[in-house]
Amino acid sequence: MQRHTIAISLIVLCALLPLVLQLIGERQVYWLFVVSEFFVFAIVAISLDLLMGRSGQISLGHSGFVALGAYAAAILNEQFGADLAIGMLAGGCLAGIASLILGFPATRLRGHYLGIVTLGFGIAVDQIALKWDSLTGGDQGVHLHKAVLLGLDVGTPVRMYYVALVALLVTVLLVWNLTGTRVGRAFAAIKDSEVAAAAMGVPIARTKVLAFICSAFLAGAAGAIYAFLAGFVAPEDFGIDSSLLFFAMVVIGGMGSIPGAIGGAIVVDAVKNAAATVSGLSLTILGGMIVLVVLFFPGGLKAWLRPRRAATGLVHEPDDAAIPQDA
Amino acid sequence: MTNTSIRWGARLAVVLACAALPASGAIAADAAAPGDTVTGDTIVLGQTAAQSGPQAPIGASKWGLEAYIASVNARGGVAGKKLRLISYDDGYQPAQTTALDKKLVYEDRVFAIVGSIGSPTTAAVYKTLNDAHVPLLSMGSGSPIFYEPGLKYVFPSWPIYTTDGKTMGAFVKKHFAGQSTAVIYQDDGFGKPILQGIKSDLGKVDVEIPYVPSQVDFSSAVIKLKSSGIKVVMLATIATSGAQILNQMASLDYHPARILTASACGYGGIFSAIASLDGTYCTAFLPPPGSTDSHWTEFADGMAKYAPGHPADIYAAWGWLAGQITYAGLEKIKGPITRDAFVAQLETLRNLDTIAGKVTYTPQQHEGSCCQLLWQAKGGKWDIVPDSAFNGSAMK
Amino acid sequence: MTQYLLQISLAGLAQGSLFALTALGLVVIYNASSVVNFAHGAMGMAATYVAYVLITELHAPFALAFVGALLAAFVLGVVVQKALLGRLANAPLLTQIVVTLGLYMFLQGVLGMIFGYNPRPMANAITMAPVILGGLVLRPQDVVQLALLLILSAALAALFGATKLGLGMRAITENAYAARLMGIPVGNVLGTAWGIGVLLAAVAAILAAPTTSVTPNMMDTIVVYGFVAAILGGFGSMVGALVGGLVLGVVVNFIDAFLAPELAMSIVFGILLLVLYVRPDGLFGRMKVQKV
Repeated sequence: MQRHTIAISLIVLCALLPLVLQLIGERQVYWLFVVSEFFVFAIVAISLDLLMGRSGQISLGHSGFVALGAYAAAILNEQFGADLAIGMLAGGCLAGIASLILGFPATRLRGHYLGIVTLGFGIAVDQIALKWDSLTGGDQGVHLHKAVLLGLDVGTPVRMYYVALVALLVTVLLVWNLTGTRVGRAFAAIKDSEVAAAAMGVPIARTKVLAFICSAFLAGAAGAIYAFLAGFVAPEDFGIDSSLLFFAMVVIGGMGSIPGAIGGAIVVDAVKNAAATVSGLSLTILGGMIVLVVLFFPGGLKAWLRPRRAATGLVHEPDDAAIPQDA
Repeated sequence: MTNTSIRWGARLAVVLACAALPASGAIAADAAAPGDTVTGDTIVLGQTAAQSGPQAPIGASKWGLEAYIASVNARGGVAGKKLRLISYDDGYQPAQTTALDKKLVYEDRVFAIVGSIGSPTTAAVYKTLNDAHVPLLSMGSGSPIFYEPGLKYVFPSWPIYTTDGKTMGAFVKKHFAGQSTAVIYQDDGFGKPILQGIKSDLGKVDVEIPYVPSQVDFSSAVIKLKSSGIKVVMLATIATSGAQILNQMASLDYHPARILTASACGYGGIFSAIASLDGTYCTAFLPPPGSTDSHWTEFADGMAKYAPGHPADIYAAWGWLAGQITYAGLEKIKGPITRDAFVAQLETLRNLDTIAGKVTYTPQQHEGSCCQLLWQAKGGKWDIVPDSAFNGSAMK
Repeated sequence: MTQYLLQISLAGLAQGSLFALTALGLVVIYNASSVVNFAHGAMGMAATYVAYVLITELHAPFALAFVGALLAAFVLGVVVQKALLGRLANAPLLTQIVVTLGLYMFLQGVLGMIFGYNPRPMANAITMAPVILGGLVLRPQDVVQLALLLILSAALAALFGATKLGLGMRAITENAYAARLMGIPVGNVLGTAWGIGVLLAAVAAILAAPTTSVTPNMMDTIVVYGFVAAILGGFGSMVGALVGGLVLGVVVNFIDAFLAPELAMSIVFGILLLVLYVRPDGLFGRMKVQKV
């Protein structure tokens, strides 16, 4: 209905944006970069939403996966001149394999334990990237050389923009198609109730691990694109702050929803940029928004804008004997 | 619309985008950055410096630069123009620095990037800026990567970090010959060149202990040094970590000779809480805070007048230094103010008198400041140690 | 060599006492309300700023500032429980994690805006000289930290074991609905539990302040180790949190001394993963669910 027209118009708008930006001359370089970066963040937000919103698990160290992808792509490019396609593949695979480290504990741990373990994962990737400087250059980082994709030079702002846009569209299609498949339904089942899902024959452990792998792969591929976009990768970019930002995107936008994740990415990115002049302001605003969303807008921005749609909200009506609220 | 038509629509968009990709070469932005020639009556300068996060203290250089620029404008400006600074907070994150520098160059159209702070942050952007012919001056870093020959538009102003280390090493060799030594160093592009400098001048060091800024407890490091009976400890650390180490030493009743690197002695606030700071040495390329050196008093007066409320400490002095060098490059330009003219003038600077001593640039070598000396803490203030000057210049 | 190892262990116990205090606070909150407070460190940090202001602006003596900060911490805990967590009692686990994380970001941002990010020094209140015992240096602040930890643990044990409040908390953990039916004022008890928990975080933060200086990020490292200690202890057992914290402190110091300090947290998390793989409920987990 209306929603689909909006989606199509947005896509066409994004495809035509660089042409429009031609009008502002060289200033487009900055804006193309900002929007390209936003596309990459949106991919990460969708990947995190796949994990948190669609399969009910938690990741507080998602930047670790992005970092792995970025470093894989950057190092392969710097040492061997590998192109973006290889970078994305390598980055995604590396992140996916690393997620196995988390995937297995995920199957055995209670929710908040998993949260802390994923936090530790993010920290560990950061620390190792800094320490292993013979490979990663430590805090001096890795500079990428020519940005090439399957033989095509994509080193200009406009071309990177389209690369990022197409990557985002492909991600959206992949994740969206996933919901209709058996795997997607398995994710939803374990999110709602593990016990029920197990009773229905869903292989819990395997499904959880699969969710982690898919989510990590996407985040890693996004990291690879980011590396080519920025031309430089350093450990400082992937710390806890970064993970918390992605977390905020998913929560504020509304979990379990692709437009939610993208919308959340828009809000967080906008707040971050607008509030940059006052230190601490963006954290305050985003933290405050998260709290408000949880309390008053469960289901996030998405549910707030479209109240009629049944939102995959954060607060479920309790099915079991309701414990009366204290006065 | 149905599911299918969405899919078709999406596929159409993807095809559109893919088709646009090869064609977009024709509408791509060009390499040389805008803002090359100054038109109008203001020269706009850009800066990125952390104002938030754990590295916020060193971002205070923004205020020193603002104060210097205000003092220049009060005198009528330079080369017939006024100066204006646009400074952004990058939170010490290279990704932010990359984005913000793009904004400064393409949106704000700054003439040059001046006094930006940080090694990894500047490392993220220096190649791109150089390729785009945007001058990058006086970054808050002595990392050797910025001193490589062939970077025509990059002008560091600090002594290279290895000089810092060599100054320490030479001093120890002279005054503590034969005693056991140790170095605690930050395990990155800041601490490691200093360690190298120390070792190149001193020879060997008995114990080397790396650390990272996120560490809050140094008991084990200090305990290790104490039980090894180390007599001289050199600290290639930032101010907060340096302060903690000094505190731990005092609390563990361990009193070796202590030498800190220039960046560590900056933050007066923290250092006021250190028990037994007396006797500690510090390498430096600036006059000690509160000294009667005319360079320092000029700076302190400038801060009081144009940036009241911000202390005249070494971090602000870094910004003042950046301003001085920028001014020196601009003031002698005859004719249109372009980036190439600016660079050409900078390369004629020989022994420019700045708050960081003499600064020299030649077309072959953008070395900056050559020399360091030592301060010593005595009775609550820093005094210059006589006969401690060290010339680490590559162009001696 | 033994002396060296002893000294490191001693320093480790001192540092571990901070982890243990943090972990205890987390466990008190968790036992009462089944919520892991991801804003724990930030709340302790906020209380430390209260102490800082009392000392520098109002020139209060340290003891007074300390008490003032603890009061503020208690109030903060109660307020957060009543205003936020109380409303989310029925919400799924993820929601509660989310809200405490949002609170963490909010507190860091606000305090950063008010006080800036420059580290504020906090002088050590204990100015006695260290005692040298046969080559071993005993620092008064280490002794105070450990003593405070033990005193507070004993007090908590007494509270939970012997008072009506403690009984009430244990009842709520068993079955909140039944507890309410029995006339236990669930809201007040939960509020008190949060107040106590945050108070413990504040103690840890203020004890750490002379070393870390007062900044919005000051508790970031300690609280992570606090989480690990609580998990190792089974996240429910107070004894577990206590022992977990102390052991972790020693382990971390040994890693710092003999391995690589830059990788300490990574190594600790590796160890945690291994422990959890073998015992998914922590070392002192389900086996010993005595609420102290």
